[in-house]
Formats: sequence, structure tokens, C-alpha cells
Amino acid sequence: MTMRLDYRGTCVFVTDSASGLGRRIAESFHGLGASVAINDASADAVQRAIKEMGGGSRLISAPADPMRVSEIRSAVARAVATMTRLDVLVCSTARGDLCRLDRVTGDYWEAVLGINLKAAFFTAQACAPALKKSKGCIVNVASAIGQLGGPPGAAVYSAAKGAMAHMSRMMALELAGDGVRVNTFCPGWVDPRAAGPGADAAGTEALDAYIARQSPLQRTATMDECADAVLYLASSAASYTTGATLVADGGLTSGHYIS
Amino acid sequence: MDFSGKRVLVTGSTTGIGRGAAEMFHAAGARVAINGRNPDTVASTIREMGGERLVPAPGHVGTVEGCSNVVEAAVQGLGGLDCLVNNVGIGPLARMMDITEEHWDEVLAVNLRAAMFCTKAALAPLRASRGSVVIISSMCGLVAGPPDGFVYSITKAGLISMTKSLAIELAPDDVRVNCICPGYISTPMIVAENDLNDGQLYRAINEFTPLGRIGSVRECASAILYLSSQDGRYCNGAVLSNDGGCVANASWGTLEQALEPPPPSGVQEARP
Repeated sequence: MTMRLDYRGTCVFVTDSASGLGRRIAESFHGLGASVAINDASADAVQRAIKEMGGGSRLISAPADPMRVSEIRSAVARAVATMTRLDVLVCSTARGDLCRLDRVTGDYWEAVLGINLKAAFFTAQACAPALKKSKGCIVNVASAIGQLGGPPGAAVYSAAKGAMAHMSRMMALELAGDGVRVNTFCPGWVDPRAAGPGADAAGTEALDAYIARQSPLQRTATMDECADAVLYLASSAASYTTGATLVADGGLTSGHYIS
Repeated sequence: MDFSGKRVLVTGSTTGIGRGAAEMFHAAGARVAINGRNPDTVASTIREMGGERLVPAPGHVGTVEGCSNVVEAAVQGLGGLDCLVNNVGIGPLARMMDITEEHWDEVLAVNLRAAMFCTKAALAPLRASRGSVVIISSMCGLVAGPPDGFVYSITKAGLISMTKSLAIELAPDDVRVNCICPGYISTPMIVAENDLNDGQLYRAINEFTPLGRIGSVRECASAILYLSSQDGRYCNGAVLSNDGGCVANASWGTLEQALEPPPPSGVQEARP
């Protein structure tokens, strides 16, 4: 086993990383020596996160409203200029709720597709020149819900995440000639209590019971398990892996049967 | 397959696969709403198809409001709806680094959002009739397509996920949602491109496709009719490839030629 996860000297941009899963991914890279650009719509949230993570020169502030392409572009440009290079982009935004088709509005559609898919594309496009220079890589965080059908109310989110996994394949082919790898990580149920400030813990008991019944491993994933999957895909251990989808969902999308 | 008395809306049905599906539904006895952006083209399509049992539903489904208007016109004209075929799609070309926000927004709106909001607009009549929805995706949504079809391909993948989720959500209402993934089909667009480069395109398609030939619009339409029909009534959330084996073939198609180039006489002739 020659796998080593050492990110010293590596420069990473993680979208939506002031809280939740993105934050944990950013902390993991940072803990292994990387410089990490912290991104959120709110500059205050970015500052707070950087402070909570201990500050220092390896944490770069990169706020941008994910619904504004011009802000995404300038945040990437500033972060790359500050870090002087870019090796890894993680598009970690995975925000969606359940909304039945009867209640889906144009605004809801734009918000879910915009923050989950469009922002990821334009962040990746902005990062691509720097990634080509470093022969770096991209990890897109999609969802198990994009692989199979989601529960009632998940149609918009699953369309966004299914499209996102495929976007990784398109990018993988487009950028392979430049030595840039692009992969997708699909989590299943992630512990909502670990989702950081703002997470709604109500109904957690019922959800836990449901997950224990439905999920083959009978539990949610921890944030660290998700971060580890991302760190693996970004590492040299995965140097021949591109266009791939790594599903870490406790067996959820493998299938189920009547017992 | 008998569609007598059935009421059908096919979006984008003045040309290509949509037109082929509308004609086949019509020939099977259905009353069909014809949709296209241009009211004159809709009117001439209806004339060419004989006029009987045909209803105009012109309009652009590129906006949320447009989707409602088109579905409303169809439902009013038909007196309800049994089958919705979300067929509209555009494929303007741009590679990853050249994609503008305008390009992104337009392709997402027409190819992906329209399917969601036409289905939403049709929910009440489809629930009433225990109807069916067929979404037209593409083999490009299953395996990565050509680099200049970047946004097109990812919208087609989104349609596949959307199909599965809507199939689960609408199942309690007995409304089925399925999709087809056509491969290379001899639509007017492909025929024109083939004519432009002296049959080169068909030769490439024939070589790439395991069945050795391009698919016809009729072959595509019959898959749409099957999923919409009583014969296909246990299909729900299905993703039906209609591509002559292209997706199964992935990228191995040219291996044999690479290892042992065939003599020029062995090259299969392009077929219209």
C-alpha cells in the first residue's frame, strides 16, 4: 500500500466551505498541509470560518455569491493569484430540500439548479486554466439521489445532481488531454446533526429510524467519511481515475428487496 | 398499438423525432396537439398531417409561463390529456471553455426546465386520465457525448434522473414517467449535415453503431408509443435506449479497425 495523503504545498479551492460538508472537506485538506480557499456567499461567514479553523496564511478568503457568475470568476481569480497556483477544485455545494412537483416554482428551480449545477460549472470553467498548468483535478460532489430516483419531492434536486455527475464525465474528457482529472463523489444520507450551524435537527429521530431501516449499513455517513472520499479522489492514489463516480452511500443505491 | 380516443401532446412536434411521434400517435387513432414556436409552422404541420384530430398548441416552452400556455392550449383543444411527450430540445454547440452564461441558460431552459414545467402544467389532466409522460433524453445523457455538445449532454443526463424521480413521485397517482435515449437518428438536422459533407457523417455513424446503420425517426417514435401505450403500462422510470447498441459499445467501436484497418472496399456504404 503506497497510498499517502499528503497535501503539503497543494492549493485547493472548496466551494461552499464556510459550513457543512464543504467546511469539513476544507478542514481535512488544511489538516494535511494544503492551502485552502474558503468560499461562501457571505464574506462574514468566510471570515468566521477562517477564524474558527485557526487562521494563518494557508487559509484564503474567497467569498462569492454562487448565483452570480461574475462574482464566481473574480473570487477564483483572486484566490489563484493569492495562492499563486491551483491544484484541486472541490465543488462541494449539495443543497436541496424536498418539494413536490405541484409546488415547484420557477424561482425554486433556478435556486436549486443555480447553486448546485450552474455555479459548479462556472467555478470549474474559471479554475480550468490554473488546473491545466498544475495538471490538477476537480472533484464534484453530487448525490446518490442523482444516480437513482429520489424520494417524492426530489425531482429538481435529482435532475441537478444527475446532470452534475454527467458534467464531470464531459469535463473529464475535455480536460484529459491537459492532464486534469475530474471525478464525482456521491454521498447518500449524511448525518444532518453534523451539518453545522443552521442545520435543522428536528425530526432527526424519525429520520434515523427510517435510515436504519432503508440503508444497508443502517446508519448515516459521517462528514469525515465524505471528506475522506473526496481526499482520495483528489490524491495521487487516484491518478488513473477520471470521469468516475465514487458512491459512498452505505449501499443505498445498490438496491433493496422485500424481506 | 391502439390510441383511439387518446389525447396526446408532443412538444416540438413540427419536425424531427417529435413530428415522427405525433404522426405515429395520429395514425394509431389518437387526437394530437402539435407544438412548435412558430404558429404558421404548427398550422402547416397540421395541414400536412390531414387536419383531422389535430389541435394547434403553438408556443415556446423555454419559459415557465410558456410551458403552462402550451399545455393549457393542448388540454383545452383536446378536452384533457392522456399522454405527454416532452420532446423539445436544442443543441447549439460550444466546448467547455467557450460556454457563456447565455448559452448555459438557454440550453438548460429548453432541454431540462421545460420537461419539468410542462409535466407540472399537465399534472391535473394526467392524474384525471391516469396518463403517461415520456421524456426524450439521448445516449449523450448516458455516456459523455462530443465535447461541443457539453451543455446538451448534461441536460440529457439531468432528464434521466428527473424521469426516475418523477416516476416515483407520480406513481401513487398511476401516472407513469419514462424516457428514451435515442442514438443517431435520421432527423432532418442529421440528414442536412450528412448532405453537407458528402455522406461522411453517415459513414462515421455506420462505423460507430453496432447495428451498422443510423436509426429512423419511425424506430424512435415506436419506442415512444410503446412506453405511452397500454402494452407498456408496467414501465415506470424506465430508461429505454434506442441507439443500435451505441451505448453498450462505449468506445470500443473502432478497436478492430485500429488493429487491422479494413480494405477500402470493406467500408459500408452510407444509407439514407
